[in-house]
Amino acid sequence: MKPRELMLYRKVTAPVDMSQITEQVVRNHSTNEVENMLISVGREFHFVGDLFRVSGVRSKHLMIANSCNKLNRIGQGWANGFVSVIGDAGDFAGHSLRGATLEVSGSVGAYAGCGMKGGTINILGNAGDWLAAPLSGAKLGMNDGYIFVQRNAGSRAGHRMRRGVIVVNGNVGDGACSSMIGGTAVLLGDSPQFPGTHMRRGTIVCNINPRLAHASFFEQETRHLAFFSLLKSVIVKKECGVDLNRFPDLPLRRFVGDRNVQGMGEVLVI
Amino acid sequence: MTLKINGVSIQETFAEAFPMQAARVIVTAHNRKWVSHAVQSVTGFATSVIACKVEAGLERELTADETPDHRPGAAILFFSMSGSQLEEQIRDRVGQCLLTSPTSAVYSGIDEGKPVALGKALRYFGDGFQISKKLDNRRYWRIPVMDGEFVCEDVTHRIDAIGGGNFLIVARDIDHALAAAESAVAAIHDVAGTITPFPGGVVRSGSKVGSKYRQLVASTNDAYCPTLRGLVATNLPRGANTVLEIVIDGISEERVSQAMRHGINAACSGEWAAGLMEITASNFGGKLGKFHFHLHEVLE
Repeated sequence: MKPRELMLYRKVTAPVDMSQITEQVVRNHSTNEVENMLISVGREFHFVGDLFRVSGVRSKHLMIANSCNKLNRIGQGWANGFVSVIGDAGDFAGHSLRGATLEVSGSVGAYAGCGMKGGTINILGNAGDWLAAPLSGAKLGMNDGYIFVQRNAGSRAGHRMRRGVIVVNGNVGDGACSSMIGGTAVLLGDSPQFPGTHMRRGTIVCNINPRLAHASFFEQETRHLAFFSLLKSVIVKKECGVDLNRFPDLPLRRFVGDRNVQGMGEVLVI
Repeated sequence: MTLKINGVSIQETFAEAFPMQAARVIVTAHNRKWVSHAVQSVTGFATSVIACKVEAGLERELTADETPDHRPGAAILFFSMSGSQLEEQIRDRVGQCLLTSPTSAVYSGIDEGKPVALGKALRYFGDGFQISKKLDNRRYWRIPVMDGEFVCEDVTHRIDAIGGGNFLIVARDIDHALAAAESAVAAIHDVAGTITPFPGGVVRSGSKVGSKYRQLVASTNDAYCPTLRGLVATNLPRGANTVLEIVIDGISEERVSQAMRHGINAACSGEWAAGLMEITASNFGGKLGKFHFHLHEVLE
């Protein structure tokens, strides 16, 4: 059976709020009902049918075809099911995701996975700034789940993240994992600039020596960690396109900090 | 009906077994040697619930590909009469024998049933420096220790199980009895979900319920003691001088039954079979244990 499909057929210049395309709508509403729903486009409201061709049947699987970076909040709050986006996605992709899987074939805007509480986001392109970070005013960023970015991520990825795993196959911008509270970020690109500033707990894994604020991170002896083998096997099982097996189980360099804030976080260099 | 395997008579009787609670724990370490040390330590003094409160044993060794952290490991099964006793024993044994064993890490081996605390109870040893990691809805604790860190999953689980499946090898002499018993234990070791908790998988001091001494709940199984022949009513055939018992705990009736079948067949299949007189089983008249494993049915 063909999943519910929304194909964007009009060029949109204002941000479209896709949060109203909930999993309940996709699962329970007929094609006509979906077409006649109102969604906000900039400061106006439009029918879904004015922007998208709706096809497929009631399903747990939503496909958004011909997507663009103006489609915000795709997959917001989804607890089950699968959302696939062909093309780019706008800001807040996977906002408060609770257990569903969101796959974006292109790039996503800022705040992807913010407030995420479970599930998986797989971004085949780039991610914007504030990946897995909290919304303005919120205390916690990502709280559980997995985010995989196959290319690069913007600045402040993993800011204030609390739990969960981020894997960025490419480079990250400045200030990755700043004020991190917990969770694990695997950053496999070029040397990140000052990752983990003001981190209190959590784990950052880099494959190249990061540029750390050396005064506030303490370098320990190199050592084997069973945890890294465990993390590797969990990520490899996810089949997310990130081959962590290319990193053998060699002793790791370990930095702890940020001591400026009495933090007990760790930066592992594999 | 007379049943014989390789000339060894199989008695038409049954083994009486009891409902128990079981939990599986996976331990890994830097190399096989330290896995072995950890397993020996955690399964020590765990032969019978009568005095040890728990029965434990190595279920099987695991290759690096089979363990969560891709290091060599082993699956260990623990059995006890009550859930609370099992939880207490696992907490204490993992804390004293696995946390202390160099390079070890501990993971859950069963994902269903009621939770049994592992790292959940031991994390406090980290004195606030312990690190929690949640991966795939499983919580792991990284507890700092002097060789680095001890990784321990938050909980394992306990399930309904069976303890006390058994059979007796009645032989002319100790050499034949030991050879048969060793062969049987090796065969049972290949049955997943079962353990033989006694030393080398074999027990020589089978027991009966009760004693002339009021404080004892069990005492020697006099009907099978060759040195008591002539003093008490004996179950030993003429010429039998040694009896060894194989006790099997398993996570299901099918597994115990399968283990008994493999064990009896292996015990009777070898040159030592010429020195065996019969295979029988220990029971208490069927009044104490809920599970009855009839030898002839098991071997069908």
